[in-house]
Amino acid sequence: MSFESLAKLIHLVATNPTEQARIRQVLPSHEIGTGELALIQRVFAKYRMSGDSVAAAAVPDTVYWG
Amino acid sequence: MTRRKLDKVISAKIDEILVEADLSEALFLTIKSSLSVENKHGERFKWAHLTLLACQLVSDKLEDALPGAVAMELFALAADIFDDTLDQDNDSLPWRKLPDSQAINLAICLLALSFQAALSLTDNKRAQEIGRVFSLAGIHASDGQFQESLQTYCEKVALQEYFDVVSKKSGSLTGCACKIGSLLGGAPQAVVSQLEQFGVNLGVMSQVQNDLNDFLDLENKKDFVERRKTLPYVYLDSTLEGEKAELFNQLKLAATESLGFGHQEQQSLRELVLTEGAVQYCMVVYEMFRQTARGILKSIPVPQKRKGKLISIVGKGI
Repeated sequence: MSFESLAKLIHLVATNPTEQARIRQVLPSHEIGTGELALIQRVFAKYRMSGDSVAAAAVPDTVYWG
Repeated sequence: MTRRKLDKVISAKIDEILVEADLSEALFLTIKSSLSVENKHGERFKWAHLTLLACQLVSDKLEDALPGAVAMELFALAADIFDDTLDQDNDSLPWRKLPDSQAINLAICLLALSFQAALSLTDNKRAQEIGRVFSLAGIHASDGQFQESLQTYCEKVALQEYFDVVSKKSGSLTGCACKIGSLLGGAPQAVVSQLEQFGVNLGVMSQVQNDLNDFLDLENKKDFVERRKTLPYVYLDSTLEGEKAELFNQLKLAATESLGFGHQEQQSLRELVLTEGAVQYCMVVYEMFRQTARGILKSIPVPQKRKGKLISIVGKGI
């Protein structure tokens, strides 16, 4: 999936949360891999669980190097 | 060897290079102070350590990679100083306390010292090979910086263009560190290429993380005000439509024309980043590069125990 298509998909899901469950129907199967779909779902799940929206506005400090 | 012991060995090799160069006391002390800057974990010499970790994947003879590791540390510091001076960023760092002309001189000197360090390799053929790797990394990083600067003046930048530039600007340096470490460790060519690619992915991850954190640090960073085409900016520009796109354009105008980019405008921008998926997008692509980096490490045919430290620096998954 291209970076542009990924951006459009994430924007769609972010602004229409109910669309997340329908990603597979919205997109042709060749446009998104199972791994990509699972990753998007994990990121959205983590983001929702974090509660305070302002505190959540940073990439988790998971990379050790830097 | 522990990190602290390695720090001492790296520090001693740096001193050797600086003393041989017969520098003035003022420049010597400025370089030492610049090299003493610690990362967010309170550690020094992250570039030298990355180089040594790449060597360690294939060899136990870390001393073979030491001149390359020190050269990498000096090379990356020079790049940081050029970057911060051009961007007028990171004001708390030692080189930002200097007048720009001195900072530029300092960076030029560090570049030359980095080549001196590489030339201290006893194997001339190897020294030449390492010199070529540094030259190419420097060319790619400068090209990336140049393109990034051009992008600042572009109205629109495509996401693919952003990643192409970041791979050059940030990925080439981390790729260089990993390539040098593996070359000096005597890795076969295929492994050298794999480790270089690992490094490129690590560099992009680090840039994505910086881009998002700096974009939201509106009080201290100038990324948005100066219309730097960082990832959240390019994402919002690519995806927003209608009223939201109009709001984003108004905020850009308010910031660049100093029409009062105050608390209210900052809050509006944060809201856009949060509600329009910019954070999620950064997190997803960050994780994609992380998974690629881990996949590369996994495919390198060396015992698992040798990979542990490199795996840990790309961190845990989301």
